[in-house]
Amino acid sequence: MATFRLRVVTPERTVLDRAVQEILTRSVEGELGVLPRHMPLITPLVANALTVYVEDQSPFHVAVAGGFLEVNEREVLVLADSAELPEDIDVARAESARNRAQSRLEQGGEEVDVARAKRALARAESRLAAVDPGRARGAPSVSSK
Amino acid sequence: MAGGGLQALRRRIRSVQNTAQITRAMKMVAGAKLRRAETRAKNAHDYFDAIQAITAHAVAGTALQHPLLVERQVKTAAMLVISSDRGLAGPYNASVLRQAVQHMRSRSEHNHVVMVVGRKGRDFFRFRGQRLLDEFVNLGDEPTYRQARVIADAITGHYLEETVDVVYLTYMKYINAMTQTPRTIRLLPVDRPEQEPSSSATHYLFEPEAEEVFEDLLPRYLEVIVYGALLDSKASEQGARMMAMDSASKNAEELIRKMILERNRLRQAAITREIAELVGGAEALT
Repeated sequence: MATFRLRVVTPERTVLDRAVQEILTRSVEGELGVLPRHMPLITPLVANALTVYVEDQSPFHVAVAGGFLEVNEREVLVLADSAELPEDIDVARAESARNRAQSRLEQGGEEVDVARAKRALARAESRLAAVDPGRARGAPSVSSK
Repeated sequence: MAGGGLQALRRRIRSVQNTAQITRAMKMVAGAKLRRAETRAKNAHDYFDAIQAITAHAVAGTALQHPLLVERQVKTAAMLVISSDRGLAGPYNASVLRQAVQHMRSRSEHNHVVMVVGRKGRDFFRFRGQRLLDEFVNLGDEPTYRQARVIADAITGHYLEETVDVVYLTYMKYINAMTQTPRTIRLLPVDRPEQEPSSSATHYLFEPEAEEVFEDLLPRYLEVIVYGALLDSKASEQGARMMAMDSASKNAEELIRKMILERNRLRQAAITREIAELVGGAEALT
């Protein structure tokens, strides 16, 4: 099957650079899948667990905390504020971040920065979803092909 | 009669030895910090290049106007100058500041305001009576993305309020531990790159609309450039400091070597003189 080059870069480091068959992610517009020979595209991403399909291997996730996706004729580039592979994710920390954001949202009130709490929640959920796809709601489920 | 000169020289040697010890320690510290700063700067480079490429593609792929892209009639120009908080970094601060001042002189038809990072630059411009629009000091040894964002937000704010019409950035580009060159680039308005001949046919799809993508992309682009410049400057600073402390240590060693020679000569002279006196005294008795 045809493949394309996927690069996931963050200000700290390049998280992923390899040939892949398909990716599934979420842009500000909604779910977005990219296959080889996709047309050139630039779109902002929201925090999500990016699903990567590769040859001869079960698909895996990368937790991406917002950023941009660029598709051009050479490669697919994910510019993320931060990105982590499942093995690098601190589950306990992500869980506590999620709980914190949730309680802040429920608590409401004037002094709560709702947009910020929502972003924190989305980031935490994307991390948890990358580790365990079944856990977080709304995550694209991964079925072995 | 153990020579006032000899005593003073001994004291001087000890003092230089102490100083050399400090410069050697500072060199080691700068070297360790340089390695970390260098790694950080290198790791950020991919991201830096990537966002520059994306922005170039996006800006070239559309005729759209955005407030951060519009070229205005320039009345007031802002300089963002990145210097260090600490000195003893050889020519590091002097050469960034000189570059900034030269840049301003070459465009003397504009009013200039200065935004400065680092205490050394702040003190320099304050002393010269330059108006400072913003100052960012005490960034620490490892600049964070958040700090870059604060700076970028300030720049965008001034630009959109039309306090300033163009923003330049002067920083020290890191080449390697021995070489750093001061560099001035234009931050705002964002450059519209020349159409690359090879990919001029590429037509990007924007999702959602190009305006909204730009709304997200351009501020981020600015943050990343500032972040990259902060990291490069920090690596340059540590490199310059390491080199400066290395040559200071070498100079101290050379000085100590010469003084020890002189001390030995003086000591020998004193001994000879004492013997001569003893012999003279013994002769006088007989």
